[in-house]
Amino acid sequence: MNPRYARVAGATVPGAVHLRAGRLNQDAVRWLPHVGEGKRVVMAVSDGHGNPASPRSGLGAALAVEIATDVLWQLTHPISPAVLAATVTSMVTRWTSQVLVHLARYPLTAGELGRPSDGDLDRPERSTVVYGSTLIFAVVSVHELVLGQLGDGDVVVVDDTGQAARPLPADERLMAHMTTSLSDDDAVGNFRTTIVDAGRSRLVLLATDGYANSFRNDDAFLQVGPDLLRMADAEGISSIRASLPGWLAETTHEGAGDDIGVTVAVLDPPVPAGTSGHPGDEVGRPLR
Amino acid sequence: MTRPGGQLAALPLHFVWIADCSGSMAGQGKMASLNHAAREALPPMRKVALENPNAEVFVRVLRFATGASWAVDQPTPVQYFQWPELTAVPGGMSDLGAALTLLARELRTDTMPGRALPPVLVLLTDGWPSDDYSAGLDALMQEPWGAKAIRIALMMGNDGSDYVLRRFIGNPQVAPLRARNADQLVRYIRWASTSVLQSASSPRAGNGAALRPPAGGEPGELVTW
Repeated sequence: MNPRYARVAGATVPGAVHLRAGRLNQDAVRWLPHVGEGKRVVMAVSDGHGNPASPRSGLGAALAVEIATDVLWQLTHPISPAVLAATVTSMVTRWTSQVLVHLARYPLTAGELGRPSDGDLDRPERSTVVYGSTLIFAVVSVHELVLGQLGDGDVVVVDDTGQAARPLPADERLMAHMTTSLSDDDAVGNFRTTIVDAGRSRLVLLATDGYANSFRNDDAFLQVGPDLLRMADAEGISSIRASLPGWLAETTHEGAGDDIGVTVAVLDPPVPAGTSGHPGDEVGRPLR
Repeated sequence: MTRPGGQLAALPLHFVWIADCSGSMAGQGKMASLNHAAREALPPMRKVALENPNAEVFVRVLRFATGASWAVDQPTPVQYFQWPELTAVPGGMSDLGAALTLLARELRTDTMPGRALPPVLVLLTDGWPSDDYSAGLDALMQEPWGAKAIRIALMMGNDGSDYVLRRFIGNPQVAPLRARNADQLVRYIRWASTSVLQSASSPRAGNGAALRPPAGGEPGELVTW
């Protein structure tokens, strides 16, 4: 019988406010395998803080999604809580190490700190703040969903009845634009993670906070997942891939104006009990 | 295919004027100058709001003398906002603490929407607080939106304490403003209404560290307070 595949669509767009100000997109997204489908996919989104204390947060975000997806891709099923905890530690350690190497090689310039001269540069208390970013990741397969989040943004899972839910616990500290970060002293401890049985899950959505903040309210945002699932079932993931950048651009222009980064993984529907697949097709061929 | 999800909306940005209406504001035309300056600043403020469609600007006015109350209590879209004619209270004290306590109540997370830009709070005063302003400031700073707000302070005249204003601002990179005449007051209020609003309209506004007020000009050009 055909195995259930996961298929990824993802995009990031610069915020409308940032475009008007001539600033670059500081969000990043990445997934593996690059082809965007397989029996198992991993994906990550990251939001560079973008404030004056973090002038290289765009680079920090790009590093975060690259490290996260590379590390997650090495994991094999089943993933235990202990392995997940060690994975998170590895991500933070590698990110911290790489940004410090970059900073040593390329010291901050006066321009990055918004200062007219290079005399007495203010330095953040922690050097890694310069690259400060959030990180959200997922491993999606028919067996399990492995989810992790540091900082603001959203992880939404939609089941085969179209119900959307946030499986990670809320972090009460994340209000009024406060966020935890990879640059925190206790970045590892600030991660929220969970491993859940994929069960009847059909879709996993990861998004930086610029996405949810662009909707009138939370219900309007939570409608995204079920809408995407209907579209995927009706027209295939390729049409979502083609349309996603335009949708996100429309969303930031009519919404909060922030950068937006989104990845979505759609799992093939569960095979009804007693239904046989195609004999001899055990390797698995994508449905679309 | 149509865009997934429900209705989109700009982020609310709450802008609050905190105006001293104590008895001393009646002297030397300070209150009249404040009313004039705030009205003059409204058209450019509306223009900045229109140029930043991703922020939906709401304005309120809080006054304090002996006690504190809202002069405009409903968050009013800036396009419809009208500056109220403020009057100095004869013999009125300067209960800044009461004002900040009242403001803290409105910035509670169960009152403010979860999705919003950090508020802008602009304090306009001409003297020393007459009550326990520290208690009010503590109440304000205990609220996440109060702590995250961009806080600007403007002193009218040569009296009053920069120390109090610096504590209110809570950011060593942002100095209190001191207007010594009506002309300076117009410039500073216009700056708060436009440049500060422009900066606050960004999703990554920070804490106002990059804000640089206009030069104050030479005191004594007009009436010196």
